[in-house]
Amino acid sequence: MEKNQELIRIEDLHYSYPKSKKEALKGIDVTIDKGEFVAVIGPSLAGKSTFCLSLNGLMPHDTKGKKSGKVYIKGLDTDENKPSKLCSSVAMVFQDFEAQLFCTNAALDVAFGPENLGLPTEEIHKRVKECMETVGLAGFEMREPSSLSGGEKQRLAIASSLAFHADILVLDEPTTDLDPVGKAMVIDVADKLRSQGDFTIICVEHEIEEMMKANRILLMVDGKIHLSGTPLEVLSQTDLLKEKGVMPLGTCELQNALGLNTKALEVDDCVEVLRKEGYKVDPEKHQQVLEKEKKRQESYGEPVVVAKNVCFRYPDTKRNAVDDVSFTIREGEFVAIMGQNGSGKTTLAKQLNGLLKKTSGSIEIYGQNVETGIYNLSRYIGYVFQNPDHQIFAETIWDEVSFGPKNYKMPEEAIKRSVAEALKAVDMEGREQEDPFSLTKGERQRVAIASVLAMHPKILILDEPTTGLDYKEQCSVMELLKTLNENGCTVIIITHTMWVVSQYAHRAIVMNDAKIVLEGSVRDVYSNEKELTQMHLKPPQITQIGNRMGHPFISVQDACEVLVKE
Amino acid sequence: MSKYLYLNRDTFFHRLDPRTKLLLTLAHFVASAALVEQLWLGALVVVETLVLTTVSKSWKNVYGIRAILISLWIMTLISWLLFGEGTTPLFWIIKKEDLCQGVSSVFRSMSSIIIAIVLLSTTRNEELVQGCVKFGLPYRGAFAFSSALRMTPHLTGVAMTVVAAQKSRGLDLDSGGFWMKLKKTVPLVVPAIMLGLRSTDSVTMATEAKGFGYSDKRGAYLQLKLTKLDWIFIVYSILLSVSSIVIAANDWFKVFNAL
Repeated sequence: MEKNQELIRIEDLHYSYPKSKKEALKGIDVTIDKGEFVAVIGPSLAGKSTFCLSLNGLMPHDTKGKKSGKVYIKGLDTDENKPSKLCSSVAMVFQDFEAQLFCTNAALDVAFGPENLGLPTEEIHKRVKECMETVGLAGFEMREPSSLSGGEKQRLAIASSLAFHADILVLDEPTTDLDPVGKAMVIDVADKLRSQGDFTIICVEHEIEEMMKANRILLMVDGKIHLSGTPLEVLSQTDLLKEKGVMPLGTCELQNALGLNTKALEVDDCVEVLRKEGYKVDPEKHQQVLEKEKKRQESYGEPVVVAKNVCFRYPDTKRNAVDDVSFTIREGEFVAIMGQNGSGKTTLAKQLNGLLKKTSGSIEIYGQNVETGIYNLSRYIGYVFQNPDHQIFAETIWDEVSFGPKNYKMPEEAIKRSVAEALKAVDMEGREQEDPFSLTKGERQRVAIASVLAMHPKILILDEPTTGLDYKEQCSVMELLKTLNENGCTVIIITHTMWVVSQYAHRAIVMNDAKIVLEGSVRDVYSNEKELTQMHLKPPQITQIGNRMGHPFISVQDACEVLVKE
Repeated sequence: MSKYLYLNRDTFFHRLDPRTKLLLTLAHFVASAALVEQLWLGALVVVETLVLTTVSKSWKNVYGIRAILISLWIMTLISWLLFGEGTTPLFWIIKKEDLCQGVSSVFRSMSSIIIAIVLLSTTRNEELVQGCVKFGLPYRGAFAFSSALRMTPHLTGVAMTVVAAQKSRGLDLDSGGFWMKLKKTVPLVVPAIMLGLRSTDSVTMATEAKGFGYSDKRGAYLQLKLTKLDWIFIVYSILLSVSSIVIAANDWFKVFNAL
């Protein structure tokens, strides 16, 4: 097949899910040629995943909704060809690692597809070897998938898709749960495949920093392709992206804020543009910003969390998941515990409210030993899990939010007041009788936060509060936490979403390999770019620009405050 | 932590063909179901626990469920002693026949559970599937069985996270009577079921996207081959099954004659 040969043709595609009155796709028309790397971006509910499912026939064959229009893959009509038949042309990688890796070792997972194709054993072995090498997992053949890191699992999922020798690789939000370097590694694999010329890649992503490698970007909004163009054409439209709920690139946002004609997408190019335009950091203004931060630090109250030499080891394991960790958090602080996948940050946080019992060391919450138990500690500490669906069970939002106060046998009037206050805090007043299961993930996250707030915790711990949310939802949740913090609540977030930390947290605690390796103000921690990258944490573009100009910026607004034109 | 019972060890038992291990397991099931005499059952348990778990290095998994096994055996024995219909007094309210039956049941469950753990500790899911297919079981059925083995620990993990999330909201699962405790499980059951259904849906889509059901003819990455050692175990399995049935038939014949 020659390049520029059309592989995918979609004509006026409409689709609505069973029992849904709203169309998920509203007239998609697009063609994709061989060798293209197409990035699909857009807010939640834009129809991106449905678009992906239409490419290998899972929609409509498995989703059973109402479809009109046509999808042709290499000339084959997906209506007439089931996913199991289309898999030799379209390979798909899902966001959820657990769902797509179901074998007891990596080689068997890669072999699963070719086995289904009925290939001879020698050919299956050849493909397994070749695919493991392509994704950089040679030597991992006998490893159990659950023992791999998040990035390795996702690369294994890609290898298992490549084993079909399909022409088209569809990646549906493959990096959502990964740390920044893990994300980059997955996208590098996709880019490497594309550059070999045999593959057409279609990648859906919320975070667009890695999508600069694509040669076309489709912006999907409300079931339609709103904009299509090169990365520069699409990503330079900062205001449009923000309006549609997509996070703009730090480089573009800064150039836009400074009133420059956006030309540079990469960090180094942007720094060059700024220097050419005569921008530099004003030392006086820089000093003022640092003074302001120092004052904020001095305003914190007494220590409320004191951890000394904490160690934790899971049963039947040989090494500590948390190893000799000591830190103090003062009242009113907004702290981010960061680290790559598997660094021990969630394990550490779960010990703060007694969900896990430390192996050694001591932890005090408001002077009280954590040994007093989870029931007592939950009066001081509210813990919001990463996935709101792990806790939502009630038929109405009111019942869900009142669950905690009822457990503490608060008087009826106090419960009503607490629920009303909590719903007001998360901006969900008047929606008490709605079914929480019918809400978007962002809204369910708000309900989960409200249900914890209703117990009036003094400290709020949130595990990955922005995972799976689009930019608008992420901003909304983080602004809510900012307000709660300004009203006196101590906030601790566990995350590897770097821009969230830089824009909202005051202090960062970085964990690596079960230990705390960096601790300090976000600005100080982020100035250690090299060390962070070694720990799979890459600072956001705006901080990288600042580091190159001698002052780590934590946001575009912060950069604009200290940058002056010579 | 591994989601499977499979222990990646290099023992001759691990290297046995899955068909051999399936036959051996079946033979032990037959023997434990057929034999009535506690002596024979006891011997069978000793063989399994001491020999098979040792040579296959599966002690870790057997030890891991010791609490469940011990409670199961105690409950079984107590049930026989309290509700059995024996007639020969031994001491206090204990009857000789009930004690014998209780001990037999304990040995029987011990034998079946331990051999199943040895099988799962030494055989990958995929080998089990292939072994079943070689015995003529349809691939879809064998895959469904292996998926169930895989999904059980996954769903247990989900349920544990749900329990942790609700405990963080002050749910006290330890206090209250039976009905109160039952009522308290609602906030656990609903999210666990919802997440379980979602997981199942995702797995279904992923398997279909990976060509499950592409053709009736399926290739195989693992190649099964019976070695001399396999044949020794196969002969042992056959002898065990046949001798158990013969001994059991003889026992039953004696009982029949006595009547």
